[in-house]
Amino acid sequence: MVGESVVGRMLKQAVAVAAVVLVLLPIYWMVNMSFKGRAEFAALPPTLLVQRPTLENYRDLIVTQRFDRFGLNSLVVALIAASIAVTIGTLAAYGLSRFRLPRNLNYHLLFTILTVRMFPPVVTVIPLFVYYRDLGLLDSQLGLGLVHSFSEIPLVVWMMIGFFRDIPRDMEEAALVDGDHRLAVLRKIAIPLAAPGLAATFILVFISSWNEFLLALILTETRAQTLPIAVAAQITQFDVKYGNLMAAGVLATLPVLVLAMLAQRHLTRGLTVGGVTG
Amino acid sequence: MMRVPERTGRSAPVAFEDVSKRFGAVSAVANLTLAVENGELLVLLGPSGCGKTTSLRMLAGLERITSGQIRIGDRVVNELPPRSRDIAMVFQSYALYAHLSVFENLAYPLRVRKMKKAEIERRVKEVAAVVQIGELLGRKPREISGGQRQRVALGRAIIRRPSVFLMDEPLSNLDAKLRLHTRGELKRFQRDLATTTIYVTHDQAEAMTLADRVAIMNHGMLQQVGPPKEVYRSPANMFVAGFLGSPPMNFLRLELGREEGGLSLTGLGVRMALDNTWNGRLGAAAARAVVLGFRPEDVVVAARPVPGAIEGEVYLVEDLGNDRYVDVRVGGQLVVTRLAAGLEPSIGDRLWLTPDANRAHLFDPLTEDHLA
Repeated sequence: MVGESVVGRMLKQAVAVAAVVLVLLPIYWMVNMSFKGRAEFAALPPTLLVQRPTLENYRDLIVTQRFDRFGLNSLVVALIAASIAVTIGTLAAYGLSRFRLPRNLNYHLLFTILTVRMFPPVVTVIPLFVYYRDLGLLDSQLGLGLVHSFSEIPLVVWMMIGFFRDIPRDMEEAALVDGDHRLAVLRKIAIPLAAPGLAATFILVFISSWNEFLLALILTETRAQTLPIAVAAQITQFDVKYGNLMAAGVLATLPVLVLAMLAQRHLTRGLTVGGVTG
Repeated sequence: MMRVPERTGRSAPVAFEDVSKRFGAVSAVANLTLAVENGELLVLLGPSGCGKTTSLRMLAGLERITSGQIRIGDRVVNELPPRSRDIAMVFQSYALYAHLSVFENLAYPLRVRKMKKAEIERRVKEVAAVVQIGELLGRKPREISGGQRQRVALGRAIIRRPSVFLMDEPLSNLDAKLRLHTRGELKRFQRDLATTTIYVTHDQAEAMTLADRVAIMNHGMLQQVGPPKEVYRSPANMFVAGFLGSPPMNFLRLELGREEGGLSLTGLGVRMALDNTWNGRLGAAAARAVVLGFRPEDVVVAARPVPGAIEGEVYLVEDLGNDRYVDVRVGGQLVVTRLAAGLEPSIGDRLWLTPDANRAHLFDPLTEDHLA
């Protein structure tokens, strides 16, 4: 910036560096510890950098505990959740952004949708458990994916309505005059223009489902158990397996991290501006 | 110069029949009745908020009609969606599909109609040549200039050969020089296509130069329809008189009197006799307040006293190069006149103005309607 002093700039950079360190330190510590053996774990003072790295923690998780199954469960559940939530939420958002309903219903509906997120999920867990038991959806990927998708639909609606509002109406009206149906306009004009937003929303829902703990704990048991539950399971009644716990944390974080990095371009574009006017 | 290779021959007339549009309690268009002839270029002219764009959007099917009927050809289109109306529209913003190339923008209306690939290619190339954007087909809208975007929008409208063109201020986003150039091309173009065109603008110069007929709207109501010259020369009311022409018509409040069988106007310290033609036109009107309207070019300006002339003081002189206008303060009002050669007034000078009675207009100060 013009006229900014050297001291001011250095101060800003120092604050930025401090923030980054603050955020990254626990992650570093997790990775660092995940490679330590039992002996090194007990060392006092703790070693800042692992001295004798070992893969024993990972081996235990992947080979003995079959973490790949939990990973697959998490992946399937998150994909189901994100696909359903984004599909339904996008359609709802488009409808609410393009059609004016009588009696200010647009506003009321939008607000009502939000109430789903207003009470703590724990309130719904018991009734859901009962329903799911009766419906035979307990301990299934589909069942957990469905619950996750429903709880994320409000987020999708609210995010997508913003992206749709950024699309110039003229462009869609031109397509209507050029001969398209409303749904074709959504598919050919609105969705491509809102694609970065759509991708960002999809990823957010995916991550949210991937990390969700409470519902997954109650509604799954063995077949559909997801990673967060498996991570928590490293703490047993008699023992806390710190090495395993750290390695499990790494395993659970890694896929999401890779996904976010791959989609970074979309995420930043989607989360900052619409930028579709030409 | 744009040249059109083939005519459509499918043009259709358009009719608004007692059409109204209300947004809640607000009346946007009231009882619009207007027939647009086949192949005609009709300009809807008026200030912003006058209902001209709403009228166009109702015709396009983008806005629901509150009451009345709209016909395209012999079909009532009230309940038809835009896609079934066989129209094409050029938007003020151009509304090009931002994520598609120029080629795909042009091809869009054809693809919707499931036209064969080879035919689409042929037509796109043909139209691109007509609107001179052949070398831009691979670009995205954001990579081309405003004038080029305007051409793409026009190309996208004509590629389908619709029965009616709708244009919503298509030139208003261009710079002055390009606007003038495109205006000429557009006129030529519409003549060649011979397709009914409804053109919305707030720019009276555009309306005067482009239109076969102008329909002037204000506050949602149609004020007058007619060929540009006719509307310019015989405005139906003060709004039309003031809206057409630049600088606009001057209005002075005077008293109409009848003395010795002749009519005269008094006020501002003068008495102007009106010739006998006014007698017949005004009939047996009694003495009353009137508004005298005259255009800046219909005034004789003198630098020394002239009998019956209105005296005023020079307020401002505007030299446009080819034309000079002088604003004269007359009894608290400003009158704009065009200066003849030879006069070189400066601010504060006194001038004597004689409006040409044969070209002047009288209006009712209450209804603002043209008298006679």
